[in-house]
Amino acid sequence: MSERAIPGVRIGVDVGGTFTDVVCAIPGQGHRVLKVPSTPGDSSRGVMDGVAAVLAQAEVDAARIERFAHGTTVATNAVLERKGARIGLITTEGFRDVLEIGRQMRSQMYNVRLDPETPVFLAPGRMRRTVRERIGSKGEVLVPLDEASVVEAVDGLVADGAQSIAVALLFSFLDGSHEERVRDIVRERHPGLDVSLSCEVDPAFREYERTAVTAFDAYIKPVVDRYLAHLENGLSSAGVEAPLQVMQSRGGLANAAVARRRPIRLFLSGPAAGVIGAQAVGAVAGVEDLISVDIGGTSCDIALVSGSKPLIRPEGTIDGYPVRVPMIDVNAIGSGGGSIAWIDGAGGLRVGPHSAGSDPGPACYGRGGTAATVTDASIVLGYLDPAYFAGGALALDPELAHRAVERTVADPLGMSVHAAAAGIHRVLDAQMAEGIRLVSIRQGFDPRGFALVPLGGAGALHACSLADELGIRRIVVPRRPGVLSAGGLLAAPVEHEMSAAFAERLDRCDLAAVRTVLDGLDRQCEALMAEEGAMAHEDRRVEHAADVCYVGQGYHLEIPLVLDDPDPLQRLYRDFLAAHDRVYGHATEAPARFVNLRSVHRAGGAGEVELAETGDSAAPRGSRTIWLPGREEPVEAVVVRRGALAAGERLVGPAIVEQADTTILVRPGWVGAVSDNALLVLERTAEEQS
Amino acid sequence: MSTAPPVAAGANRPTDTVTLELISGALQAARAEMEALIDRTSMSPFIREKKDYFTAFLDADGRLAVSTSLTLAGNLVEGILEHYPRDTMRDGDLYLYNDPYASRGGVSHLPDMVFVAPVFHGGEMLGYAEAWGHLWDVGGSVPGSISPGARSTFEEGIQIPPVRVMREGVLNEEVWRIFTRNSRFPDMLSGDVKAIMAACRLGKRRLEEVAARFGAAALRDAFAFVQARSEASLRQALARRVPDGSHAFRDWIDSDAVSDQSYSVHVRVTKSGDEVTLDFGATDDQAEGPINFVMDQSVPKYMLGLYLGMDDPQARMNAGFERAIGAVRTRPGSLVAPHFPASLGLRSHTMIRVTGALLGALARATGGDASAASSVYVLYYLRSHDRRTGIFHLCIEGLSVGFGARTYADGLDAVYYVAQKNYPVEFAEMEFGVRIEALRIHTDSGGPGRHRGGCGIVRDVRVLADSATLGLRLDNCRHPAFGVNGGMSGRGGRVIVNPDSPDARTLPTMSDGHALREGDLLRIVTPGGGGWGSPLERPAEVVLGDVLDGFVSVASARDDYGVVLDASGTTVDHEATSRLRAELAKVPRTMFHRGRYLTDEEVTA
Repeated sequence: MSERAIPGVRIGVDVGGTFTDVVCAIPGQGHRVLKVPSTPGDSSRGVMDGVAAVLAQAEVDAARIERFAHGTTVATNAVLERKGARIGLITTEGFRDVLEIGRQMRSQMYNVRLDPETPVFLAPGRMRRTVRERIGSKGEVLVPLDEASVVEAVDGLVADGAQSIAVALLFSFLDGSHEERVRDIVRERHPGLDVSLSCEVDPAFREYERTAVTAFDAYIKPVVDRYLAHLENGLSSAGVEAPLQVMQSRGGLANAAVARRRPIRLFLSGPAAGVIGAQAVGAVAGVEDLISVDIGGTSCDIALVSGSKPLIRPEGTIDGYPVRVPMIDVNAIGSGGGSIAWIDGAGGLRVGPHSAGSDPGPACYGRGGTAATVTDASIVLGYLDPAYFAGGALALDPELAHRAVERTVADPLGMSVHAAAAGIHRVLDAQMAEGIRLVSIRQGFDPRGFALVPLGGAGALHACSLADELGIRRIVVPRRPGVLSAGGLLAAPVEHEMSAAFAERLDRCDLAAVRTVLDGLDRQCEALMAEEGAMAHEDRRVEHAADVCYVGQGYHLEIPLVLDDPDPLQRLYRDFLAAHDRVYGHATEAPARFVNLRSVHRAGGAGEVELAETGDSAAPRGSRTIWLPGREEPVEAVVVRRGALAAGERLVGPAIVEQADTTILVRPGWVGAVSDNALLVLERTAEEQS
Repeated sequence: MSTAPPVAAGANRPTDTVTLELISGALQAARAEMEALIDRTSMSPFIREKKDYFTAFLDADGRLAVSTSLTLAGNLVEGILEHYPRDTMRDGDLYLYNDPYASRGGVSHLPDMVFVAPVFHGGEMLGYAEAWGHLWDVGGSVPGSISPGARSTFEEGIQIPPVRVMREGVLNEEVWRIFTRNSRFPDMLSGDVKAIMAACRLGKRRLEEVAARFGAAALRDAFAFVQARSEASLRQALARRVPDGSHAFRDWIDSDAVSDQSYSVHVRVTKSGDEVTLDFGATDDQAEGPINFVMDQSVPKYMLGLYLGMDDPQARMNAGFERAIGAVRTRPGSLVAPHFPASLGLRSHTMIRVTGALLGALARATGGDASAASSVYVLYYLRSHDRRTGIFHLCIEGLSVGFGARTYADGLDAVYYVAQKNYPVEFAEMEFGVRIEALRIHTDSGGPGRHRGGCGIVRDVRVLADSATLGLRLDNCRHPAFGVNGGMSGRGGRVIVNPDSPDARTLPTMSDGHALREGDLLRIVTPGGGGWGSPLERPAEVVLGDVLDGFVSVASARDDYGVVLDASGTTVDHEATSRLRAELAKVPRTMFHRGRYLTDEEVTA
């Protein structure tokens, strides 16, 4: 950007269910943050509203925007709301029902109320056709492609209304020529029809997983394409010259043109940005291992960052269905501020999974909700200031909160309202802590070695209690936890990743063959990078990795492949054994083999999040009576606005820090220190058992 | 959910309700952690892919409190206490068994290896942490230990009665050496067993932590609380859904795999006020083949509790279910109470028919308010040897079937019973020396009904090795999964070698020892589940959808559902459909259908 006289403005926009968050970084002026209502149906309207508002507020011209990064839920919503395209699926003769049968798996054993676990809705039997062809397990052509059968299948699907075609033939990851020829035939006969090939979307073995992810790609492609084109046009009309960049599920940005071709990589666009934000906050605080906990109204998203890298899982899920693309390992559990407390048939206190959502919302919202939610309990306990919720944007009614907790929990259980509210918190916190512990243990990590980074509107309220439950001794509270996803968009690099199946044994493999495949992948990544414009040249990094498993094993681990090591394959094997031991608890020196090779190219992404203090007016310190779980008597807590905290200041719990986007509860036994860059770092000082 | 709590809340209980909820949540989470650890650290595909394992906490009296919802066994501790009285147990002990007879149903076939750790706090016994997993090979006459041809349990692997494998944290090396010497795959066995033992220790530690945090008394109360909760739930469900009376049902297993004889499970469910009893006395004598099931009395109670409590989050499988139902009678020497040393490897065929018989009796008692029957999952064992390469392949593959239609929805298509995955075609071809030539839905296998039964599948397997031996367990062909309330039974499966060729031959579907040659094509066709409600009540457009999607043929749409399609097969001829349905409505339909509509006498005969 050296040619520019005035350094540019960077904007991050994250679309959530209720609000669209805009973070605008203006050189010399710090960050501006804005929340505007999301616009379901066409979320680009909310984005445009937010951008217009923030530019007007900052008195900045749209042409000064040099970077525009976007986190979107449009791909996810197309699936959740079943609003994708009508697709036709083409498979090998004899295998029409691979998508239907899947892995014949039920994740819950013995639950009598079960629904199919395969995404048949993408292409029910009538929208699946087969073509005569067969490639064998060594990549050999057993049956040549019968083009007449392709014509018949394609024309039939189009006649039946297909708007998009997915092609998933057996062993196409070894030889994609049949799939490519099917695409040519589709294009010849039906120009303009979208086609997704499994050998491009996910060139790896296991036909069901490859078929499902290819069908998802075809299903959302027209929707994502329409949305991003629409948004690009809108931005362009508004005078924004910067290219639109979209967050992908692995935590890297991609140019909209690339994202439109690879929509399957957008399912975690929003949550990934939050994890990148947490990682960037950790980097500033000098914390490499952290657990980000994003607590909103209805759910809690948990992710682990180890060695400053978010954990990536090779296969994610959408709406319970497998989607085999690498994504940040974000785990959602159904607990949040809107979770409803209820008494079960045996007199037990339960919290969630039902949520009051935003409409009617918690009882204290005064919108007709009568169920006691976690937020109502927070009001009763004195943690939240009813007059300063969301910065005063929404006045809460403490009387309604009190009544709801009394009527639905305290009275039936014969306890005081405060004990009932404290019970709601304890049950919820225990549930979330168990969720975090389970996520950690599944990855082979002990959460006690990690710091906690709370985000979302409610994260900081529960952070101390979760840390206590988990034995975590440090919490890093970002400057604005409530909009950290938008902030993460500004901190993220551009990233392009390509992979290819490579079924060779490590001990019988020629390194030159590995290099040849990786060179090809590098060229593909470079071609994608070339579309990114200026940012592609910033601090370019290339990483290679291999998916490796033991010979005969059905699951694999992603291991970095360091080509300039003296013996890259020996190192890969050693690292594989170490990773296997960590994740699976054992490793033997048995032969291993490659499954896939992968190249990841990154550029930019300084890891910068909002650090400096901005805007908030200084306010005097007060105090408030709060009730803590496990204590009969209330205590007095210091209450302070976040903006009034000075660098180097120590804050001893019990204390409450209020800011527009969240409220931080510092429990007894915890001491907060304000860093030079306005992070609030809480440390556990005493053994205090709640 | 807050109507009339059956368990007094707060007042009479020494531990407050929030603490009880915290402990109950912690126990559930700890059990999930134990499973995650087994999942993550075990070695064999059986455990990792199939998820064939079980974890539990029991109270100090050995009563189940928190567990996996798996109804294969019960009575986990009694067999241990017979040899090792409670006052001889110490902190750090670990007990092991896999012997169904010596544990009297604590486990139900030899590959399942049970580990139990007593847990103490301040010298006081808190309870037990328990875990078992299905091991890849524990010896016996064939690799994988389970053989459809086994005639005695001595052919099914090493039998370990309850023994102490650790004393105060010190491993009994002698037991360990005997045990691992008896497996064809000792490394895999060691890896799996270490994973299960580690899970047991994790459970023990979690229980100790709960006691340290909340107190041993609170933990005791929490055990009692979760059991009372399940008991109350099942009692309420029985009171609400099952009228007083006595109802019997008989359900069938095609054969015992070593003979052509069919076997049946018979149950009589009797309810009088609060008292419910289950009598299996009229079940057939034990079989020569391995379908015998050492059934603990808790097993059918767990089945009923899980079925009736499926909507109720407080209905967890534990000793509460056992208390809600009274006596369970079985006849020694029968299929569900066999004498030693009857073979047991295929006991799940009988176990699933116990569920079927209970559902049938429930349907009789309630006028049809119960699911239709499901088919039993299918396994084939292809043991091949290629003399040219010297490579030996063991392909044990589980195949899905159709499940019974539910009272409110269709049955599930193409699922296994436990959460076992199939092998991907591309994996099987790379690993097992076979070529898979088709994988598709078995059209018309789902029992016709207002709610259709789930469909089974077809899998075509080409043998590429120069010779192979085949073992099969494919049930519900002679006796398909029954339909309920006017719904029809599922259609059976079959196994054909070289179909559509002059030398096509059909194999008996429960059998072993079939020789196959290079180039043979093996077609395995799996059965569907029963339907629920009259097929004439299924909306014609839904039947059309089934035809278009490949679940129902045009002929079955017409003959079974009375739905006539036009010549193109894509639209309903409504006029012809009305006429045909009026005609078919004259056919009398009874409560149950298995191949044909059954009379009341026939369902128990």
